[in-house]
Amino acid sequence: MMRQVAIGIAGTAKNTGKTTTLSSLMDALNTDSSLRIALTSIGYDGESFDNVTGLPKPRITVREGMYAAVAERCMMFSRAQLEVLEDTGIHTPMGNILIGRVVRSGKLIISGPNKRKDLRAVLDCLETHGVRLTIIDGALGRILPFVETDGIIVATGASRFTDLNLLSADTRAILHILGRPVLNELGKVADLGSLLTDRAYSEFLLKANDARTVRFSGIVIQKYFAAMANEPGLAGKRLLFTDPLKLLISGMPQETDETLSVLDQMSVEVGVGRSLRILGMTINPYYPRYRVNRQDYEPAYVDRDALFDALSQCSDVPCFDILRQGASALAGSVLSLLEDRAEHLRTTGSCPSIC
Amino acid sequence: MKDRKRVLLAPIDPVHDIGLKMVGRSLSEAGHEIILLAPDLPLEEIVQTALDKHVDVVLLSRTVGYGVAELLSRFNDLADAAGLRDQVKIGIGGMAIRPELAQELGFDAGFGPGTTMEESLAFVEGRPYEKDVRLTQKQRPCVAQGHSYEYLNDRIRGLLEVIASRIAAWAEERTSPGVERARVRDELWDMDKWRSGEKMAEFEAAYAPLCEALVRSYYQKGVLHPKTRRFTAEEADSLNTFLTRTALFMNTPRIQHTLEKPIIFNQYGTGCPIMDITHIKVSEAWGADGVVHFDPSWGARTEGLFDGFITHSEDGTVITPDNLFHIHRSLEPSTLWQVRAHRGLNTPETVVLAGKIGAHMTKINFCYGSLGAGTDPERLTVDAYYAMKYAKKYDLPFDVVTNEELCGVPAYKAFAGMLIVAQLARSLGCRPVLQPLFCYSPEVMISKQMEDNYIDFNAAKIIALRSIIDAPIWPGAPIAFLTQTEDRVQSSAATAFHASLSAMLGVDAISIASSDEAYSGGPITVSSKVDTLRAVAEGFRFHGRSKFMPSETATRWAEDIVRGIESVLASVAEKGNFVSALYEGILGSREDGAYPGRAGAHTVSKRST
Amino acid sequence: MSQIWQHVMDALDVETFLACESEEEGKNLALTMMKELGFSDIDVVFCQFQGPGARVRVRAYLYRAGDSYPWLDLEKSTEAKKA
Repeated sequence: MMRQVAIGIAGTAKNTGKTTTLSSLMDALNTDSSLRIALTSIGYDGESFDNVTGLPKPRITVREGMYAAVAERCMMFSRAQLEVLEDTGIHTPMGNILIGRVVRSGKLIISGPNKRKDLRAVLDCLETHGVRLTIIDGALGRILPFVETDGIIVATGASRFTDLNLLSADTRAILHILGRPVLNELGKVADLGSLLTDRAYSEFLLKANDARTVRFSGIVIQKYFAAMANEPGLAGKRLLFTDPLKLLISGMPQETDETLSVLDQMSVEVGVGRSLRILGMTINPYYPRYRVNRQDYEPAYVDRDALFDALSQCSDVPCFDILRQGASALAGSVLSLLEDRAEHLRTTGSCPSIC
Repeated sequence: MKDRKRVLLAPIDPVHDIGLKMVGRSLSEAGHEIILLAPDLPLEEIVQTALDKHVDVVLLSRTVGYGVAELLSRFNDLADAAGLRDQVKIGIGGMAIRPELAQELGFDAGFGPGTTMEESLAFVEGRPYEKDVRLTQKQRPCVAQGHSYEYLNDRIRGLLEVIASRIAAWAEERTSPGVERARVRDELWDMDKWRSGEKMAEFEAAYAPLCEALVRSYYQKGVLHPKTRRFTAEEADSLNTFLTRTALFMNTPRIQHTLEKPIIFNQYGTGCPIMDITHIKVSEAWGADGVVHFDPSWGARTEGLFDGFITHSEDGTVITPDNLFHIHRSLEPSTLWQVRAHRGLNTPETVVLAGKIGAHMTKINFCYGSLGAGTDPERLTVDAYYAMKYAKKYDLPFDVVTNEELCGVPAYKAFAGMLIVAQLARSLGCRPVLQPLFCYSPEVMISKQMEDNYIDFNAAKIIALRSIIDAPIWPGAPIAFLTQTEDRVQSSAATAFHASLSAMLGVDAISIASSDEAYSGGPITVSSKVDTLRAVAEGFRFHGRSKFMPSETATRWAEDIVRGIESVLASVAEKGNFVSALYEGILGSREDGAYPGRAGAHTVSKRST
Repeated sequence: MSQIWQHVMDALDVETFLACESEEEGKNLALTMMKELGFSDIDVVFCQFQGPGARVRVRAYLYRAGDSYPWLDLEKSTEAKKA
């Protein structure tokens, strides 16, 4: 069987346009009826009004023939009608995750597996139903489950930072961290879990002393990367993480990126076991502005062109203003990922685990 | 213990969370191992502790405020990255936590306000928590249960037996258009055929001629009552959407706290069955155990029942098979449903229809119906007699309300009438429920029995009835009648105090009003129903199982009432003809404020044998 | 009308204390306030004047029995409004 492709849409903050990106991307991909597409989410999306700000929010429309992995309660609430194909038995606060096929188009509330292990299980399950492409909506403040995807689209904008300089620096740092090099083990290898406490850090120093490569199955929080920058004895060591998302959630991206640069300069190599493809970045000038005197939020916007210019210059990751440009170019990147996968299969006879 | 779990409890609030401690205690009691962390530790430390201690479950608590959602999300990302989530379940509790938010933030479960300990225990133990557990815990109660109907006052029993047997013998020889319609409805109207939309030609042919012109023209030409309109298919469809959505969130809490009784009834009757259904769902969700269908006053004066899913522009919801059917299907399984039949020209037929559609109770009283509700005494006595027979057939207990007290009839006279109805009902094998009023009636306004307090005279009524017969008692309807004002705080408090009094007196059920009871400028609102249910719940919470002793005065007044009942019954027995006793005011006179009704006068005929 | 009103099941009660010199004035002020807020089907449910002013509860019915209720199916109502 052909392995499917899974794409995550990660927002850097609330209201960065994840839902708009998702909807436009689905519209652009829907032209090919032979492509079996599924939709799921690692959070909860689809309410008419935002949970926190109370401002109206777009909802997601699914079309007949699409597949979805959503919690029981979503199906009951949604206007779209789904034929349930399987109960995955995976439990969430919104009920068990069901695999369904849309039999009547309409709005759908999307709430799916909200942790890494469950997302993996759901993707495997969708694959057994012949799904070729799964698009996964992100969640507020969480990205780790996207480890299970083949690539992500980053949605960012004024809602993350309204100051464009700050937003550029932040975006650059995020893309930098996600672009950390893939490295192999070198010399003697020490295995560790995570560095979350001082005790664990002391253990790390001991082990690192005796090894060339330290392999982390978990994460190192920013504080301990900063501490490493003051350990000249670490020069020449190689620190390996399973994937770049573990580095991204270490702390604030700019701080982490700066510290990693210092470590680079000290010849402490920080790398990952597998990379994550960044298919593109979408931008949104909208942000909810808090009105202190009324204690509520009102819709506000930064300059659209200035935002686009600032973020397209951040890196070579293609930048899209979806509302203006539509999502056809983005859909093109997704389709090329699918083609790469098919091509790889044809030439090697095996599925690549790393894109 | 077969599966002892190790649970890490971490308050992420700057102050210690009492809710989490309570959860911890109940988990401990269930045999699980609890590790309670100090409040407000860094997230990484909580994750590390969970890893080090090899816990099975992590429970966090936090009040959601600015930036907290991101903090909680980060916790789950850290936990997922550190490998904790592969084996460990993580739940969150707090005031603003709803399932949607717990899902968005990445938790395995969210425990918001109203979460039971059972729910968190089920989560920890990995059992599915069925919402139905709570539903099935609340069983549909029965008002007419646990009483022997034995008399404790032989003199009164003797009088009642004489009076009731005379009524039965008299009524058995008579009939009316109402009785005939009930027979046709009973014999020819088939619920399954009606549901499948099959035309019941035989029923319509027999039924329409027994109705007055207005109703007849509905069956013959499809013309509706001028005050009503039919719902559109779209409205009916929207009702289904509403019910489906509401079902997802429905809970039927008990509000009696540690008490078994009283069963709490709420009346509905906005005129619109869809709005009624909304009122019912709100009543159920806020703790009402039963609901009472209130029909428009013109419905009681009209010969015959309409059909169709129709709404009405005034108070009271029209009784039609369709309206009752939609209301019935919207009820929670634990909800008692009473359809009142007591006062008008469709009394026996209403009992038949309510029985066929699935009501659990009805309401019959020919004394009140003819003295205070405008129906001719002769007609209603005949109709109510057959209504009772159908109540027996369809297994519907009914209350015998004494609303004539509101017209000014003294309690003892109203009670005499109520006991006559109850005795007749018992002789037919029915299960009557006595319904004295807990009200600030004209009688007490004049005689000043409530000048100091509302307790003694209401207590006296219960003491009096209990000294006569062991029968179920359901003060109503609603309690605190005429004590409420348009102020919702006063109105809710008055209702709550009367509810507490009822509970302390150990009555079987009560009907409570909304806080809009005294407001006459517009329809009752749903929020006004919540007001009184909340107040009553608080009253029950406050007094629990504690009791007070009514004063000596209550006992004295109870004795007065019993003497009064006895003398009224003696006069009725002496009169011989019960209907004449009603016309002549023995059970409530024109001076008292009771006027024999005229609707349906001269419609009773001898039955052909 | 704003979409938010579609969620109101029947009526909106406004409770407040109005500085005034009589019960009648309190009622009039309450009704004027509701009119200024844009409501038409309004009534004073409760008004009690004592001391410095009147404790009032004034009500605007948004939907009466027999009306069409948008909250029965909010999604459909919102779509119909947009159309």
